[in-house]
Amino acid sequence: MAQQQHRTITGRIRYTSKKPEILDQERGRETFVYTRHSDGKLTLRAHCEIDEPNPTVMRDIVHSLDANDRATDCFVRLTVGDEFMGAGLFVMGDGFIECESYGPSIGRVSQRTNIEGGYDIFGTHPIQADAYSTRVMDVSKGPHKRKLRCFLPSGDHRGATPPLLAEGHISLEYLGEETVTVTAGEFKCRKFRFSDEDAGFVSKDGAHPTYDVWVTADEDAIFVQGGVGGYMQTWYELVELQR
Amino acid sequence: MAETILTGKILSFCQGATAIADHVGEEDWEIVLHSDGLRTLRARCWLRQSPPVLRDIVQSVDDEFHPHDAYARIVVDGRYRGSAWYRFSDTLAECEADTVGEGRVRQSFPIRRGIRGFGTHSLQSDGWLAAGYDLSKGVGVQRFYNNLMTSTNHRGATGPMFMTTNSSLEYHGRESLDVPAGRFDCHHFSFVGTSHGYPPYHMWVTADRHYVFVRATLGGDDPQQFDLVEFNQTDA
Repeated sequence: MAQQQHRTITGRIRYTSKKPEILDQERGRETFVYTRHSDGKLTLRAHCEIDEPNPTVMRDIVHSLDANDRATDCFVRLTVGDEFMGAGLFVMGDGFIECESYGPSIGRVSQRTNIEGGYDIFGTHPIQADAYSTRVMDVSKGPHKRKLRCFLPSGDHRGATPPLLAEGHISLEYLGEETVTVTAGEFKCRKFRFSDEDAGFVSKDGAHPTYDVWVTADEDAIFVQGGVGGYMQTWYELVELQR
Repeated sequence: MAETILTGKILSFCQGATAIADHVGEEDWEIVLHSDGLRTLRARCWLRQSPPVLRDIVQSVDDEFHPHDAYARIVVDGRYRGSAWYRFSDTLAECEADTVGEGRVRQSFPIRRGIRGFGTHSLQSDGWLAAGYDLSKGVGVQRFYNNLMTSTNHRGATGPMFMTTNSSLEYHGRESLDVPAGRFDCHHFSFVGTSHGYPPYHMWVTADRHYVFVRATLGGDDPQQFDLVEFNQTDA
């Protein structure tokens, strides 16, 4: 019998709040499964549930990247307030991204966007996907900061709009290495900071608040802990990991 | 949030092998029932026999198990085979696919309510197909034509896109069944009038409103048995 030629990583992230009225209370959760194939390609499946603030969000993502971490295809399905919001498929080609989507509020939509000059990440909104996107930084340069051109299936900060292609810009800073202990264990991490000082990722709530993430200092870039300030006041922690 | 969450794990065994360690395939699945009436199945399937197949499925049906939307992604022998997005209304089924073999594919088929669901090769998805049978008519055969599937390959290892079969359902009655996940009151079905050389396939699903896949047996040259080995239900 043939063996699967891939490596599997599974994890669970707990979402909590730093708002004083619900301090450290669980406000959501995310389970993820990675498969890293022998040819370097990777698929991330994530199931995310956000309980707070209302309306609740349930998101399914199946996002694949090639051996150079370039997005190849992505499926997004959203349930908001326990009602279907939309489902979309994104297919990335040479110089374009296609989107086929449907949602009660947008109807049936086909998009094809030509992209000149390339882009850095396709941001899909799971916390683990945020962590993996930090691989775009060349950590051999030491701490530094640069602006990222992003495409996303939703420009909303919670990703809670029907799947449609959106573009944004955000800064990412590599801050160095730290050892971090969370429920899932102790990990040697790299610390990064997403910031939106140029308002390149504005939604109805304004610019994206500063977002610190600690990810494992290895090729898997697994989310270990992190939090968003500003109006969001959220915290995230890896509570289970198998690899 | 969701009204009910069901989770399960199915293992497949070659004939005569039932030890957990001897399984040749596995499927982890979760079903969420939402307050808007939709139920969504997420399944990750590994077929370990050569060439190995890794399949991701996310599919939703309405409160009468009429398909609503779906996604399928297939990796065969460690290589991307394709991914497809599906949308269904009461009268139309649409597919947007990107596959290695066929390229960019766009398909649409007229449909009606009462079709035999949408077959995605997830075993739990097979369980949902049984919801197309009108149990009020008792045991017997009910015919279905031009059934939509992601692939007519026996292992679902082609496409994914729309392909059609004419297999129908025979209902054999109720049976109580013991599997590693426990004892279940089941409906026993088999697929009849199959096309594409599909071997005899019997299936047992829970006799409740969920059509949970409990067991199946597959005949032919490589007979296999599929058993539900883990199951959990959480009601809000």
